[in-house]
Amino acid sequence: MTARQILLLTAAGLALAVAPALAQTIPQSPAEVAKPGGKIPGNPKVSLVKVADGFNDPVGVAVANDGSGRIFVVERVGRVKVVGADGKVQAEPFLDLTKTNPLGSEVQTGFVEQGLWSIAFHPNFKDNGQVFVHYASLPFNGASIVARYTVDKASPNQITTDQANKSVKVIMNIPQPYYNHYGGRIAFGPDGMLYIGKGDAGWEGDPLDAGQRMEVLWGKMLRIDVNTADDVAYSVPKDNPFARADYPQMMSLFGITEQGFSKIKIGSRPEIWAYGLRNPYMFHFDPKSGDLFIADVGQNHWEEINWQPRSSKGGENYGWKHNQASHCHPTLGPNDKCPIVGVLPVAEYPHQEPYPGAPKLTDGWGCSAQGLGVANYGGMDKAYIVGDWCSGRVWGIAWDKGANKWQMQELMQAPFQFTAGDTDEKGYVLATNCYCFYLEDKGPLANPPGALWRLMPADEVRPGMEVARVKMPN
Amino acid sequence: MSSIERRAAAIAIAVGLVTAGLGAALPQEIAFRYAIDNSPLDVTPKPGETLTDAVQEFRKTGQNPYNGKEDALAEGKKLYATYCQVCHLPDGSGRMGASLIGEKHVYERITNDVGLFEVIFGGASGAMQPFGKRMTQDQILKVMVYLRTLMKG
Repeated sequence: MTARQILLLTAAGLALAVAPALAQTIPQSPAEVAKPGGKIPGNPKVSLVKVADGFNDPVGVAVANDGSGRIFVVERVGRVKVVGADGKVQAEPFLDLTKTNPLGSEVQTGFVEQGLWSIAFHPNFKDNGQVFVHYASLPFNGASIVARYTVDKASPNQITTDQANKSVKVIMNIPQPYYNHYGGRIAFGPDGMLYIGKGDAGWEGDPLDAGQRMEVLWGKMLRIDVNTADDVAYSVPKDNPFARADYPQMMSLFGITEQGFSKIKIGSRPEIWAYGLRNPYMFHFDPKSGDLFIADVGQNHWEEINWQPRSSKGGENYGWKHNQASHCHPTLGPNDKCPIVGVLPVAEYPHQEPYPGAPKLTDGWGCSAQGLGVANYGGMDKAYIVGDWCSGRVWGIAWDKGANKWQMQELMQAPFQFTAGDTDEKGYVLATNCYCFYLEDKGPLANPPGALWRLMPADEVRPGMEVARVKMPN
Repeated sequence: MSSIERRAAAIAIAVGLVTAGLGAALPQEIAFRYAIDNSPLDVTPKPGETLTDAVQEFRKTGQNPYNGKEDALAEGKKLYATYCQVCHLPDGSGRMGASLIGEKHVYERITNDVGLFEVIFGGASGAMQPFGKRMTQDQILKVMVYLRTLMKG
């Protein structure tokens, strides 16, 4: 072997070593953002199998990860129902916020986006019994409240009213100017911190510019540390991206570039993890990799799904209200030109009209992206499952190593308004559907009851299981 | 075919003819199907709901007896405002729900009355929930009359 040959081989080896740099990345241009019509790796064949039903407006679901196999379904009215490992729904709620306040319910449900949205179990729940909820408060005129309750070990399936009032600790109380775009889900990350999906606080068009304003908590993913003394609501993790934005320092004008100046975010709320979001009602961590997916509900024309690798240090700007998905806001036509602000989503899908006056789509559209969970089964590898509220479409979104890009595939179309999801203790994605109604809303107990479903590989469906009626894509 | 087999076949044909004859004499009801997967759709009324003459006639003919009836149209318009327009918009052009205008539809079956009833009563995909849980079947026939006017654009 000549020296030249050795050099060439070394170069080839280096090239191979560099290849992993092409691994899973955030799209750098709109063309790289996945759209409906692709195929995710693994060619998944899945069915929705009913776990339980009879829930009043189920809008959230979570598991305790304590080995009990229990599933907790959140009812908008302010109750959490517990589904046993045997699939039976306990009659008495696990938690009932309609009863804790003698003056009436603790929960504001006047508009369909209001109510109790989510419950999260502390990573050490098995030992400390701590659960956290997020809801619109009636006594606080619709403000969103994050509160902690503690389970009495003698009563593991029910936090009684007494126990609730004895153990409650309010973590956050975030005022809400409008009755929509609250966000909703709260969940612990693989780092043990509590993440809160917080919407832009409403109306349409983000009139408060909440997504981009750093001194407000609206339009953000928040990250807090709830492991504090009982008289301290929460603390800000030191490694939050804006934790030291207000760190006192002498003003320095010399030797700093304009890029350096642009990174100064004095006045930013330190709880902010990511910003430029419109209504991140659902987000999920991949139990396997720790990566984070955020389904950000769009306005009139586009839905977007964002992704952060586990290694993210936070601080991402997802562009609202300058962009919705990879498009301009406001969307005016098919060829709008505008800067892309911040980080692009990994996937997007259109509404029936992708821009004002566009020919109506008959396929591949939706109106409100509800993330359900990350699937690592049935051939799927870190596939984010998203259900649409309007069209009932279920999408899989995953990185395609072979094609070196993100892919988005319609897995089925169901007769459901999807509301929420989580992964169960075995890793299967769970989903809830409601028959909620915007107009003629007679309250959270007046709608036909919704159900809890499990997304299972079709070849694991057994006789006796109730499978949802669905339309498979062509 | 043996003589016994031939006889058996003849009997079978005769029985078949008799059955068919009886069938023709009995009132046939439409077999309704879910729009999403074409599986059988149970149209048993809600508890406490009685089927009106119009619904019973529709179940036999597949034609909406309220078509062309002004009272039904006016009632249907009110029902549309209550249950439908939030997603399909006042003019039926659709936003959260599909556009109802024109000849191209997500579910082609809505061009006939049976198919339109199936989609409304049994639901279709996504937020097109089964309105048989919210409206009586008679009300569905009335809203269908108004929908026909919107579909013409």
